[in-house]
Amino acid sequence: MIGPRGLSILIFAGLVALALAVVGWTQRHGGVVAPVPSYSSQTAFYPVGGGITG
Amino acid sequence: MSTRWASGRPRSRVRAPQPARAPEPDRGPGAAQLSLAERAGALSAEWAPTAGRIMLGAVFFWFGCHELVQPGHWTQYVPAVSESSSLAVILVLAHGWVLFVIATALVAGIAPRAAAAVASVLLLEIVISLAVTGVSDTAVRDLGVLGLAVCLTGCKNQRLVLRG
Repeated sequence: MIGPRGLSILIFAGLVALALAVVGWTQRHGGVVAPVPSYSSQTAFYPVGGGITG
Repeated sequence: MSTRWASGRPRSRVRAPQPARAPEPDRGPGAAQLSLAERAGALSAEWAPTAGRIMLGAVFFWFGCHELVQPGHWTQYVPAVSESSSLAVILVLAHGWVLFVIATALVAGIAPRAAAAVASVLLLEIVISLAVTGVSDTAVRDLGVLGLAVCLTGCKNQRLVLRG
């Protein structure tokens, strides 16, 4: 029914799909890699590259 | 001196008598169109199952890739399981894996009737799960795709089939 060439192609496709599934599992939460930082009013704010001012 | 004329087999200018052809029936002015329609019909009968099989495989390939790469967008369609659970993600990934492999079998022509039968089962499951929540445009569309898969299950004469 399925010859050796067909079986090889199906196994290759299955492995590719498995790799894609691993990619999908790592991005299962919609691609968010880190929570959005929330700053409170008491948090000190340091400007980027801020040196000594004043 | 050239002896070209004597180098070959002697030829006779008298043609051998050919068998008499049967007189063609008078088909009228629509004969050319009829012949064209017959040829188009024969061509479509020969290649339409292959075209339908490859297009169905393209649909499966598209949705399989999406379910594998972005399973979070499909967990809402998993019945009886919480959308935010890991089990829903695993079920979507397994479904996408099956779709991807079936798409490969359909496009490459590997056991096409068996692949179409599995595709029919998958689409029947999709249509039922969608229809449970109410008849929607998506369910009706998938019903048509299910019809294509069922037709391909019964097609014996297919081109571009991988044997061996």
